[in-house]
Amino acid sequence: MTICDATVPDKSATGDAFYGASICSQPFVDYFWTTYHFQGNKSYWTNGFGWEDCCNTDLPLARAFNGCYALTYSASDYLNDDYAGACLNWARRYVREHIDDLRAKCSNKTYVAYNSGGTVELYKPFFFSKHVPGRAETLLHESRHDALSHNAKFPPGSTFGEGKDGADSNWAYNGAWMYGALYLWWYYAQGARTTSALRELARQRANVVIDGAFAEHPGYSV
Amino acid sequence: MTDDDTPRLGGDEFDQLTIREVRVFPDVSGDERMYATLREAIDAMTAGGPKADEIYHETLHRRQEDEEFVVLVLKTLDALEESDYLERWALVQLAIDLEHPVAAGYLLGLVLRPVPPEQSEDPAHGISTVTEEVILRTTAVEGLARLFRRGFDSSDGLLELIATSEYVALRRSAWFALSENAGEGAVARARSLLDERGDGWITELRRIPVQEAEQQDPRLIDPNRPPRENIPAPYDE
Repeated sequence: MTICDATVPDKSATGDAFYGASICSQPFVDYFWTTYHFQGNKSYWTNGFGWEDCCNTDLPLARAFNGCYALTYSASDYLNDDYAGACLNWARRYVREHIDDLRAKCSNKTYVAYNSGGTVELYKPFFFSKHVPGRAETLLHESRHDALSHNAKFPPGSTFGEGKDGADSNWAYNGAWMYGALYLWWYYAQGARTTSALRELARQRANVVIDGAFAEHPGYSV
Repeated sequence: MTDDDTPRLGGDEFDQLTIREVRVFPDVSGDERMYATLREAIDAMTAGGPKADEIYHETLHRRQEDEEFVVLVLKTLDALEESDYLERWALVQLAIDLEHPVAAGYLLGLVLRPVPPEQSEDPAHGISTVTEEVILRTTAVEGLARLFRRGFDSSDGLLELIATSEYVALRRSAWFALSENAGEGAVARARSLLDERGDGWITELRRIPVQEAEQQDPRLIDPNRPPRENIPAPYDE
């Protein structure tokens, strides 16, 4: 057993103060637990990770639920999750269909999350270094790794480490960076039940990803 | 699916977490009422629900001409640790949304402050501190772009950013702030600086609606299962 500790950042800054209040009801807990495949993984969410206190937004489980809430309801017409439509709509469906088991752990090197054959592990940075919409983006990014790995090196001027492995070759590759950036772009453009400030954050993050996570720049700016 | 009863060689794979501290914004005002006002504004900024944006903009409207409040936001920013990226973002975003000229000098100073070296061993898979710092600065550049409309011309600083920054994201954000707001001379100078750096391509980037960007290829999505039913209605709807 690994034992770890964590510092919780200000919950108003991350959006957890609001989301914590809104998801603290059994129908949401039931829906998220089964839909996003926490189910069957209870032991990974106990021992301080929040299973016994699932509305406590100091703890990882409620903070993961907050990300699930943003993922599920950020499209105005959230019931339409057709893959032919906007990423903002189908992202929740993609996550549901491509994560078999969702687990919490202390750490794995310095990773935020890791997908191994459909089992996605979430580590401390996911819970305590990401805003609520950023957690939704991460779930989609990791889900996409079920199909595709990164296949290129980061380009000159990238904030992610020029010349290091971990980039996608280009936008058309339809990789994890493209899915994440596309989600953020739609969130900026049409995010519902949120504020202009969080939408602006999505825009800034999308642009930094577009500028730095593709070996060949897509030619876009949000 | 995991069978929790199965004996495991090498010990238990389930981890244990303890919360050491719950951070809150420091009160640098020494004034309970002012601090409560700051907290109220940040709460509104990161809220959700059908009226979240309306409430946030009402909050901004009440504070937009309140110079004392804007100064409090900036002083609180200065009281944070470098690694408090989430809290720093919240205050920078609040400062740019207030669109008060008193924040202009601060935002310009942030934009031109050197980006500290990467602290992450693996910025591709972990939290890249350079990325966090750059997002703070591109957010500040957006604030400077808005302040052109309030009469604060940051052209010289943004040109300096284009000339000196090693990060594409910063050069790109400065280019768009200038090309959409500055005078012809500054835009021509920005174009020239980018050309000199071999970055002329940045001036060709297309700022387009998301609908016009290349979308996902549904043929590359597998499996493709029917939508799940019985989703609860969102909070407060």
